[in-house]
Amino acid sequence: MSYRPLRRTLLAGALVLPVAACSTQSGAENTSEAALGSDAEPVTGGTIDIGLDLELSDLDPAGNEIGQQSSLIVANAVYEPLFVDGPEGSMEPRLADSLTTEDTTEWVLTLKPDLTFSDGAALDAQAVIDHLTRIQETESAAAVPAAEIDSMEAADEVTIRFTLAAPNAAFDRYFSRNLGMIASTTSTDDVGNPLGAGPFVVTATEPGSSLTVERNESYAGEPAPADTIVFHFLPDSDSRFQSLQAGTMDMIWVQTPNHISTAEGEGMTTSVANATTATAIFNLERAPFDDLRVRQAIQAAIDREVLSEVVDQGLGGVSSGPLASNSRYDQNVEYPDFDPKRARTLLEEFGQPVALSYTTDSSPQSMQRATAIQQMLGEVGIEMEIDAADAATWGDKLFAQDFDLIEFVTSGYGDPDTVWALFETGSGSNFGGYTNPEVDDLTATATATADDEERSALYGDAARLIVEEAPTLFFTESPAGFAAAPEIGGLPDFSDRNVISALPGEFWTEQQ
Amino acid sequence: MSRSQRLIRTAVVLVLVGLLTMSLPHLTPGSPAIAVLGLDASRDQLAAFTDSLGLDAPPHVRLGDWLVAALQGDLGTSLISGRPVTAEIVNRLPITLELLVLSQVVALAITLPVAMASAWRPGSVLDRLATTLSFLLISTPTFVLGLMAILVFAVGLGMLPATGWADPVEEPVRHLQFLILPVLTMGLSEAAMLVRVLRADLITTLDQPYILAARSRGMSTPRLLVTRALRPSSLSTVTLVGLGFGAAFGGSALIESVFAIPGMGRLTVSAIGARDYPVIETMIIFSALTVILAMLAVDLLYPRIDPRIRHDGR
Repeated sequence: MSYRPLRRTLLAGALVLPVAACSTQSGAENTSEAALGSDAEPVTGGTIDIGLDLELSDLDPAGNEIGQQSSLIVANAVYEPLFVDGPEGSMEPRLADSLTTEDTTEWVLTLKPDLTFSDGAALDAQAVIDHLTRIQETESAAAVPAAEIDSMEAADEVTIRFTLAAPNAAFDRYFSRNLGMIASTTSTDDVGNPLGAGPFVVTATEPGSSLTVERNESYAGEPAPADTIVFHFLPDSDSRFQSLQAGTMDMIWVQTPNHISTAEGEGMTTSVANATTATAIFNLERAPFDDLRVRQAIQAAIDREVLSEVVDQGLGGVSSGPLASNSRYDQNVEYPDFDPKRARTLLEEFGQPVALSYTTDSSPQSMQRATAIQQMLGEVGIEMEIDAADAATWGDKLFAQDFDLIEFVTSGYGDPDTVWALFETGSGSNFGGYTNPEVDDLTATATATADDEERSALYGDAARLIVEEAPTLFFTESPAGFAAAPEIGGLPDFSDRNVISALPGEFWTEQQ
Repeated sequence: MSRSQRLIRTAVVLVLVGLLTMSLPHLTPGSPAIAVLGLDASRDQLAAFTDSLGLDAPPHVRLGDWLVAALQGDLGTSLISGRPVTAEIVNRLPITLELLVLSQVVALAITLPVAMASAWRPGSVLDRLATTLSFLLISTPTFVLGLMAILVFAVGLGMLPATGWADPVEEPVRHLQFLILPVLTMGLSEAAMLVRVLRADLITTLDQPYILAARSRGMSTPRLLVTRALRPSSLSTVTLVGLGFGAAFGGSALIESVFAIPGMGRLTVSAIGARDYPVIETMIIFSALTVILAMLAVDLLYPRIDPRIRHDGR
């Protein structure tokens, strides 16, 4: 680390237009032409200090800690996934060669040959099966997608045949996440994490403070340029940003719009994508929110552009429904315009006064959003009370369906194939109690449809229905990602993908 | 109050705190299930997890269980990290303790000379400057002070690191570098309050006849202040320092979050957010214990400072 005063440098790799919505999928495979940051020649050696917003103690992909956006950068260092997200929603192979299907129920996975874990043990078909079996037997969130696999068998050393319990055209997407982060079932490192086959190995942890990884000399791919990466857990976003400015950190996770724009202004590299979608879910089992006119009135009374300005300082964009702005699917879903007149007309038709309580988790951006919405609704005669709960209480109310309208900010809309669970009748993630057999039909058919274009049309129709019936209000897409000092190179360009899953094996630093 | 009476009183307070702590799951909404399993978990999974924690048992039963386990050295296991709470405390207590002790030392180092100089010449330029600064510091929240310190010294001047922590044995120099800003921040904050209190008490004491007598015998000002005025004026200050120690886990949480220091305060705050009850319960009881011990220590110090105070002969 070095401590240096602020520097203004002209940046070669400039601001990435935040177009992509974030996804449960992972990172980018960059050639050095597409990478952001320093445009000197990549240098081998040195230590990179990366500041994250969360604390990780257990890197096991079968555990519960790897899942959030900012955790993926650490997981990718140690367990390189089988695939990563490529441009326009394609899946680019990393440790795998291919994953194909004819009927969306039977899938064939082919690995690259001669892969090993960092201790030399073979990463072959059996190792993958063992890894997936272990996940199936845990009770973690990763076990849910793993449960879709009915049976798997190793056809040879590098080939596995999967039979799914039900057709799923997007089964391959799971392999850029926990399922694809193949972990050894036989050996762990000194700290207790299972070994991986990624470009780095864990060498030290300071509980609550940091996690250190060093270059894995037996990595099958291009050796990582950096010798060491230290991931620091810096929960306070303001001091995390100051750490970047002061030089204590070389790179940090950023999610505050103010920090992103300041970083750009000060000559840092920013590598961001539209990571989260801000929405609010109606409780359709509580009057008057079961009435379509009331929901549409509230929908029409809210100006999404203003919310984007107020909460995100204009970074990111508005959300137009369940299909995120960078999804490879149907982009012709029209979201109703901001129209207070229409809102008032609908409310008059309804005939009774409408008042509601808006449940939020009290984070600063949520409160800003809630206050703006309160004002907008007030202007059409709807009285809104802000129910500010803390994160745990918010979660409780969500699952207990104890709300009128509850804010729901999620990265889930970045994964257009799994997000429909939020709207499926009877689904555990359908927090508002929405039910529409036509939507269920469309999404069920789409899941079994291998053809991308057909699936896109089906999703588009489902999205149009959801936007029209407004069981969920869609507000904005917000940027998140990484900001780095100018000496760091090899940063991913997220502009054409749904990614906030970077590959640390490509980072390098000019400082030695 | 006799020693046995004091002990009984302490035990009663601890039991009450324990019962209240064990009632927390009943009193507060939110369960750790979502924090541990995530939003993708099914309602059944969440319910099963919550049930398995045994949070429904009556508070006195849970307190009894906790005590029995604690006496065997088992303070529970964190629901979030899976690590034993005892290990967390062993790792983090020295860090927070170091912060607290050093910041109190810094606070006293600032307080004593400033308060004595202010009290000696109330209304002087120095006094008014000190008073204004005190009020400014008292009204500024500690974490704002911390962020400002980072802005000036780390971002602006580049002299010190903004955040982080290093082991004192393995990297003593870096450890000191990381220590300076948080200790200064907490110390200044504490000093602002202590100066007000000590100054007021000193002014009262300096009115006493024995002070005048000592001056008329030709005693120099500094000697007068230190040997005659300070001790009788220090009761409130000592109480506050004791309270500061005891209650400091709450205050240190903010500083530890801003400066990314892996201490007890930060652990407690994140445990509360995630409803990590084993950690929360142990931390609260531990905190209560610390306050009680600190107050006991202060109680014992009183007669040493001012022999006019006797606890027993009332």
